[in-house]
Amino acid sequence: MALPNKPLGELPAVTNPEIAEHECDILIVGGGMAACGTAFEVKKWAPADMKIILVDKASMERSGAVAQGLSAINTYIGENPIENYVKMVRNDLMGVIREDLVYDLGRHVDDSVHLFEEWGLPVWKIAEDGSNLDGAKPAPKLTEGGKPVRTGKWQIMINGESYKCIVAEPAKTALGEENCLERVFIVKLLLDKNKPNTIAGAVGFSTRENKVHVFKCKTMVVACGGAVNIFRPRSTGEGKGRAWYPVWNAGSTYTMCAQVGATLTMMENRFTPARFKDGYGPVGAWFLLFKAKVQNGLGEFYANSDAVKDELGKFMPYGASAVTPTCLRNHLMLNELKAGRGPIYMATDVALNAFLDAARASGKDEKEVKKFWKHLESEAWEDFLDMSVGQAGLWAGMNIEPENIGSEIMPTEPYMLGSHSGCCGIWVSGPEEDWVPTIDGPRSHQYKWGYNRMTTVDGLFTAGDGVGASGHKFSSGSHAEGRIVAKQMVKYCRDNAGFTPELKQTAQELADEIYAPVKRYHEFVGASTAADVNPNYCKPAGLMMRLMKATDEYGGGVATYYMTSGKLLNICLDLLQMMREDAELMAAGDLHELMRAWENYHRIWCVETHIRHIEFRKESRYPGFYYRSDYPTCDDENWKVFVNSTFDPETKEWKCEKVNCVNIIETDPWI
Amino acid sequence: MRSSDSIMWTVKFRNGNMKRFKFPIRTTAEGAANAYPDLKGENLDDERLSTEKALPSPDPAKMAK
Repeated sequence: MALPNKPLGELPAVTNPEIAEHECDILIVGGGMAACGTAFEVKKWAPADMKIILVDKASMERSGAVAQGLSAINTYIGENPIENYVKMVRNDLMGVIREDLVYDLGRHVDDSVHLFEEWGLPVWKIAEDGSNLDGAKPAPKLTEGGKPVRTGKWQIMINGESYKCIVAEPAKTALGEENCLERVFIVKLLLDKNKPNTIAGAVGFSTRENKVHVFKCKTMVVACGGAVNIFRPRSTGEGKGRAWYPVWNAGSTYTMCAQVGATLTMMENRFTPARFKDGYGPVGAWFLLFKAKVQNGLGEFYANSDAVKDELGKFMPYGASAVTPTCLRNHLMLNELKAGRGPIYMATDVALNAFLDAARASGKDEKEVKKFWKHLESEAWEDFLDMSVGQAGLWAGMNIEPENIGSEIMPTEPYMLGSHSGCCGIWVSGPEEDWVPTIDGPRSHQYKWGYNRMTTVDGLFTAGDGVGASGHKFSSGSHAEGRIVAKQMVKYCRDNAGFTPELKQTAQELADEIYAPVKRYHEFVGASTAADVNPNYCKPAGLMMRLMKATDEYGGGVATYYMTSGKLLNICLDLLQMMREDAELMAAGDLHELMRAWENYHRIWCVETHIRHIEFRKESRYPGFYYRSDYPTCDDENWKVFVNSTFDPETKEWKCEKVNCVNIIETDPWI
Repeated sequence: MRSSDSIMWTVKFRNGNMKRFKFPIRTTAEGAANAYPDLKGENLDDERLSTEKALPSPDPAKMAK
């Protein structure tokens, strides 16, 4: 993803920003795949006079995790039973998921994929002779019986450089451009003054002009992605702008919802992707389309060894599946690295040459083989150029031609997200249907309370990375989930027609709070000769480094090969507490810095929930993502449960608890 | 170079090798994606989305006992 594109000081911040107040029925916070799903769907259900506003920190055409494009859609159910999708997700996430949410996602996701294709997204197809056709070649659409190019059971290949542009266009058209506010960063949600535990609005600021925006709404969806740069990345210096997930995802979804009392779930879960080293290029197509294998530094294809089978046998039933869970694949890789058998290579040369040998063996002459190779080479490079251009640059800059030499892969720094191969997020209601379990107790224990994907706070919904315990939705599933939410929010408005939101604070009080770092900057900037060094304040860039150091060293980052312990976690919590105190002393001289200041507030909070959850869960549920040295095994007997946490906005206290995990889909056979 | 329906790349290696690629990016004209502005959903009280024809629920034979 791109480095921040605004030079420091280009848009100076002033101490008295303009204030704009907005009122609406439905507020959509975010502009990524989920928010675009909501924007597309919501008017189909809303009465004509309903006011709906979408607020995006960036520009919808290129915002969210799909901004740079994608080379595959990772969730398309197609010919598979949805129940098998639930089983796959359950196994990959080591048994603890909300099966109602995953099934519900699975039954809606294909409709979104069909819309994408109709809107113009090129979807690869299998030709009659079995070869792959790119998405622009004439072929029946998926809805007309066209066969997609599967890479694994659930993924389909696309020409997806413009995926997000294509999805954003009808979203904007449906909602009306005039209802989409771009370059506005929402930083706080606001509870109602009169009605307890009820959302009433939000506040944020423009990243392009000195203006604070205050919103009053009856209901809201918050879908601002997961969290990046909460741990020290492997990238250094300028390269810090290079991350696997988009750098602008600051944990805002989790932080803002938690701060108003929404229950979180599985915040101990993280995703530590193993990707091409330094460029973060995707590995899925290499593994699944080109059938490449991983090789250790000794040249051994370790993944099929007896030692590996024995190791996987320690994590049953998860280790027994044909597709090893993502965390355990990392675990095996880490074992090689820790034993000194690194680096790990994706044997791209072996894989590509195997295709050429097979082509020759099938009787193709050299001219045909050459043509076949051009196609194969193009597919291989497109995989990067569609979604991770920097990786193509890195290969070119290092003279890496994949047909001649393997390429290093490496587990990256940890990320927090709920839509990819991770499942941290917010505890939400499932669909109000009979097959969804009815459970007694508070909402934080229940599976349904009236409005699908509503958090435990009345009127507050989430989708995509926001919804916890329900991973593997990816781009398509996030869009579908946003659509689910759209309908539910209209229903909520209908059922609560008499509700008039009222804020606890005045717009001016809110603006003062948002612009506090700017006021501090102007008050003290004269105390030193260098604007970044001052006895009275710290700058956001410095605080971010401090956060990354603390989590990396004590919270199980790359520094310790993802190992932590109760002792280390508690040190980390103490450091975070001090950081929260010092974060109040951040100063921002321009609008970019003000954005970075608020991203820091969000990151500190978000990662604190992560550390609290890992501390509470006395086991190592996701070996390869993180380990606790004091509880090194996966303990199904005591911990095959959700960990849910709730922050009380009145008392400012956290509560972590175990919550029962229900199997809705059969467990025998497990897969 | 990106146009309305395709993107072209030139990849130049350190050793001077060059590779050129062209990939499709969109099969419809810009602005032509159907937002279904006139479509109205049917029943606000079920879980079916506006463009969906049917809505399955888990197969009882495959549910946990």
